[in-house]
Amino acid sequence: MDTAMHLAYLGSDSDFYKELSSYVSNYGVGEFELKEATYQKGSLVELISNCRPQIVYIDLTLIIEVGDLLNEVLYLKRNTALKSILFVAIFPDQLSLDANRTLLTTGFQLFFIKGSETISLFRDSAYIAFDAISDFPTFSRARRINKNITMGSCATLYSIVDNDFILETDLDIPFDSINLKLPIFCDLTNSHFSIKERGNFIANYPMTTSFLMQLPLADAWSEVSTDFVLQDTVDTWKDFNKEMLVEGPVYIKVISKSKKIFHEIYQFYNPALFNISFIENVDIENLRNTLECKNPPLIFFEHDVEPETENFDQLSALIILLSSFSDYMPIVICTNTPSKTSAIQKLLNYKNIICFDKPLNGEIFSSLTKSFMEKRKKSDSTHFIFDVAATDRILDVKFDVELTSLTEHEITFYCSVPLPMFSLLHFNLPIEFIATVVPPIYELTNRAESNQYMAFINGIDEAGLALLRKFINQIIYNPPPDYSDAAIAQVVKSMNAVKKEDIATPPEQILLKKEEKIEQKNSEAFKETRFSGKSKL
Amino acid sequence: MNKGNLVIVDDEPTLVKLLAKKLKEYADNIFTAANGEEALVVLAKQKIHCVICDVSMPKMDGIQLIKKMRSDNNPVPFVFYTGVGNHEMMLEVAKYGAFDFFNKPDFTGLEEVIVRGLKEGFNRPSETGSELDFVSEYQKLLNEMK
Repeated sequence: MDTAMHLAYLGSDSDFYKELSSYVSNYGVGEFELKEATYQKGSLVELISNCRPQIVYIDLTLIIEVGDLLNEVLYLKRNTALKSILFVAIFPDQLSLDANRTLLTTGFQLFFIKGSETISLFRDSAYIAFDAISDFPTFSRARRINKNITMGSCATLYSIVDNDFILETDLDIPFDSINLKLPIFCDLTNSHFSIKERGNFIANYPMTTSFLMQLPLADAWSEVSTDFVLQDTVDTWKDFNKEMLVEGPVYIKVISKSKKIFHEIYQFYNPALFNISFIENVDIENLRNTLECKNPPLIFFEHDVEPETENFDQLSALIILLSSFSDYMPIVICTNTPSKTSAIQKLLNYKNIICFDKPLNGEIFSSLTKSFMEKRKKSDSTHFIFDVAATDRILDVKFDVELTSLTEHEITFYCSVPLPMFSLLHFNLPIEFIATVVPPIYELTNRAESNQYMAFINGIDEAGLALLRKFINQIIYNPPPDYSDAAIAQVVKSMNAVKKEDIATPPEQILLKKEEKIEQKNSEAFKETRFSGKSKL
Repeated sequence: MNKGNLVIVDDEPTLVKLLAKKLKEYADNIFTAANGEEALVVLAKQKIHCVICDVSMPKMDGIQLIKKMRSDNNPVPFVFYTGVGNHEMMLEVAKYGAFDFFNKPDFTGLEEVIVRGLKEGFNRPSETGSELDFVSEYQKLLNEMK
């Protein structure tokens, strides 16, 4: 039996691959197999179809245009059977990451900048994907901080609907408004946006929640203000961004246990026209929600190949569900179904079902969807979808959390809103970094009103890490009164002052001064000496 | 032109007679069998192009009969009928390839279905043909949609 854990490196940097490979083969826990391939359009889907790696490291050093890659990752993340694959983005430098922020909401969960410790990349990714843990190194830890800070939860705009926008996020904000800086309409200083509808949208990106949000429109009598946006501005913006906006794609559901069908269909996939999601089984509750929200006009249902394992219960359940909707009757295309269309129509009492005795393949899919698009009525709705590669869709939902501890590797904090595992956050302490929520590597205490979370720090280069390290040392010895921007700036100022002092004063004296300071402040902070096991939330 | 041979499988002689009478002008020969076992004998001896079969019968029911046929790689079209309340059995036979279904006593449209069934049994469509049929069925559905 193959017990190895499969990994893949997609890129062209053979030195980096060799380095990663050496860590993979010498890692103390588990058996890993790392495969190497280069990236070109479609190769990611092909790789997943052929060898099903659980971690894919994608090196963006030579990938200039990320649109195709984003569409591929998004396509794969819409397949429930592939959702657990960990996609790691590797950048040559910080600038490259900053230029490719669109990766933040498309299914990548870990970000690495070359030059940092590659072993750390492998250790963190193996922990996330396999729960594989050997030993995390000991880092200086600022702890018992217990001060409020504002974090950003990575989010995306999905579309503009009339004068509202759809926001997709992992943060199920329980309030009536959300604090964010809209990346469009830059003059707008208003950062509180009202939630118009919640929970009625299925996220198109791999996010758990979506909201219909109201643009703060100025009425005819309002004075010109940066708190509101004018209708004319919205219309002009739409007009100017025509090429970035597309008409809504047709949502298509594919229900199949086939391990290869997603690859077959990908050959004919046009993300501007279709939003295809794959599931293996009919899970009525989940499906009801999706069908109600998305109304896919086409549902492909593939039966098992062997009649003995064939289960019409699933198809029956699907049809019963569809029949429960009053004004929605999609076409159900049943493949691998030996019975004739008229027999199944009568048997299930559903007119819009057709059957084909062969398995679903890319050509059939293409032919049927093409016919559908030819017959599709033009929509009058002003529903504009942001292109996956449009940087203007990326934003942070701001939320206050209580910071409890910080090392250069992980951050812990209390958050009153449940955070899904592996969601991406932004912190600015004092340098901006990404943090991926993970099961804690040691026990964390929760409170009745809020859980304590741990997140791995990533997406930071060696220089940034050095700054973070200094910041941690500074707050261990000189904890700031709060973590407002001003207080953090003051800490940074002190860090720089220490640096100058370091140059001017002999090292022994600096050490003495530091020790004096520690005694004076009777700081509770101390260096964490050993890591003490882990437990899940 | 040959119309093809039909076998009617049912344990109710009255219904078999009625169906035979109703369908006689649409088939070259109509054979009868009282259950699945008898039908197997007919199917072994005669060249049968379509089977019309009750689902529920003694000795060997419609499910067992079609299962046997398919395991022998015999793709002959089966038109099934049953009384109210046998939905589960219908779902079971659907796994093996039903050409059409009728609910007793409503046999409206049976003649047209049998003509198509015999035609298919007489001259099994090529793979391309069946795909074309499928696509044209789909086109028809699309056209009917509002």
